Amino acid sequence: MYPQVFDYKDYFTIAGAVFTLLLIGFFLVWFFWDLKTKFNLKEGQQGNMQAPEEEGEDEARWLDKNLLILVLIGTTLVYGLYFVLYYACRVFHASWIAGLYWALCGLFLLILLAYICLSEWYHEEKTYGEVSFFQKLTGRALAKRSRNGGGKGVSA
Amino acid sequence: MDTGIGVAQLSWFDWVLVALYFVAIISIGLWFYRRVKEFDDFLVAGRSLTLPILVGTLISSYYCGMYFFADAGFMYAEGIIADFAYYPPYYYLVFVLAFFLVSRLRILGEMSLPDVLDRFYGKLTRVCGALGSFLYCVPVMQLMAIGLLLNVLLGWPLWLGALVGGLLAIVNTLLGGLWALAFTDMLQFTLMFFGVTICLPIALKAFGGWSNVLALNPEWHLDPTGGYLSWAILGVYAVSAITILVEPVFYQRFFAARDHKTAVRAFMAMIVMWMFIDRVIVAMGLITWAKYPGFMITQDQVVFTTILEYLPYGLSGLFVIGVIAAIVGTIDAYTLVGAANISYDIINRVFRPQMSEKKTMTLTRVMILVTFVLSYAMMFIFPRIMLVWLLQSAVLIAVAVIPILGAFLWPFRKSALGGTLSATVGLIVTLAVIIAVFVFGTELPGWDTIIWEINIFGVTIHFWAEMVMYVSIFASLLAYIVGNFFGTPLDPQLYRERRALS
Repeated sequence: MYPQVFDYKDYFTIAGAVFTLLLIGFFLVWFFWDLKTKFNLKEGQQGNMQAPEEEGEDEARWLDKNLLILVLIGTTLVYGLYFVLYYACRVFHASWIAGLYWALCGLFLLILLAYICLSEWYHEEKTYGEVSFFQKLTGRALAKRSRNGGGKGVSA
Repeated sequence: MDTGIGVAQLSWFDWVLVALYFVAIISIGLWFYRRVKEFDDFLVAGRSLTLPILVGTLISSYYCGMYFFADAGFMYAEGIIADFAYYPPYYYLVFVLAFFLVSRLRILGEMSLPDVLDRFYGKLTRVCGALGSFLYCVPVMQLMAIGLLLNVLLGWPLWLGALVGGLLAIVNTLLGGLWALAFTDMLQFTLMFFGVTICLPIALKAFGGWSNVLALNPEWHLDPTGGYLSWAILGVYAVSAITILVEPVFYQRFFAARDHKTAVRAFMAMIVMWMFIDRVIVAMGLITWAKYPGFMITQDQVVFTTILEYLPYGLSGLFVIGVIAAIVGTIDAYTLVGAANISYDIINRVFRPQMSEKKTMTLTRVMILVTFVLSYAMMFIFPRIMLVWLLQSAVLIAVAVIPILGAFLWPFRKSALGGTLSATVGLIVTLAVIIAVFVFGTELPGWDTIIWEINIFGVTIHFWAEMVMYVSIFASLLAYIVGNFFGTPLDPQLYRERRALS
């Protein structure tokens, strides 16, 4: 039997595990929402799901630079985590630095995920004219807000 | 027949959950069997997958059950350095794949990796690419994994576990194609990660927290620069990750998305999920070392065993389903792509272009069975998982990486001969080197690899089996340059298409 010496490392880990479970649950709920609203499975699967013919100019915009920069920073931050943890905790014994960095990493990944989801919901509303999961949850349409300047920075 | 640990550690309720899982996936397959009428639906799900389904199917189809055996064992054995050696190249190469390669190819309306090769280099390269992709997709490694899992759980011999598990896995694909796969993948993705994630806090609680776990790990296990891996081996891992750039399952999922923007976002959401889940596995590796320090039990099984020990009844059943799901998800995904490489990419597109969609779909179903039989037979020829993976990755790298990258990145004169020569020479050289390593090399006990000692003018070079990939890349690149120089330049239309998307 080991002595119980829970500290911030354990609480962060538990928070991370809970967040991962919530993330899985979120994608599952979104999946069922899509299943209910976007697939007409009784009469065949595709039909209303096919992407409309996109404009030539739109096709050329294949690279979402914001997303690319965000994922590059996110991955680099996560791998920096090990160095910060090791040197802050075990070499310099300044564990608050590790805690702060750990929190920032989680926050950044959350921002990245929010960007991905908001972009996709905006895209669904604008390109396909669908009711997005966001709209279902909040009652507001992202595409409409964007035309008023509210969705700036979110790529369609 | 031995008794597996599952008999001792799983309750009847857990086994009921496992049985329900198989009933669920077969029911989904049957449901789609009656609805999927066109080949486009069967192979790329009518090009209509939305983001959450894509995330589920991408993660589930790529994370093999070996993730819970070999990968987790790797983290257990090497510590934190293993994470640096193994995962980052995959992450960064997925960025390259999603943003700079398949995104543009999806706009061009392709259905498979050989389609892409055909577009740039012609039919012969298509055939080489299809054969390379087929060899890569034959799910030998995954059959071994399900055999190993049933051996651990029930004590079944490997051949019986692989046969039963493999047959149950392909039924779903056989019936409903990618539609059935995508939906069951979502179920599998949930179960797989739910089980392993929930285990982490439970195991930490059992150990009294990280402070105890870290105290029980040696210092080199925690140092991000420590461990005994040499940079040469790190390089091999990085090179092996290049297969991501031509991963047929990723291409299929990308082409099955409703559009390229949704596909790119799904890939990035997958990376975010990987970042969380991979850290869970690293943590489980360290916790397992605290429990079984110094390789007390088999490396491949140690993390799996530890997780089962900590999960309570019911949850352990869910975790077992998750691991089965991980393996089943990869068996059916790779079997479908491999079968379509022969039925669609070669027979339909090269020899029988007038073949109807219905016949192509029937032929693909037949090829799914053929692929399974071939995989099962190969399992006995290549009894070691690492070597199968090595062979398959090297072959795919040899035939597809350079032509695909060259199509977009090679700034000089390009010709069909360049692509064809690169694929054929790469394939032949790679197979020759692998055979030479097998024939002349000697096994290194405890390392699960083969080393070929080559004496050149008195200098001894130790050629590791993993290093075949360096040769594959070099031979393929050299042939590409030579072929481009001597071949007829490509149709300028292709250049225009490429420029329009650059």
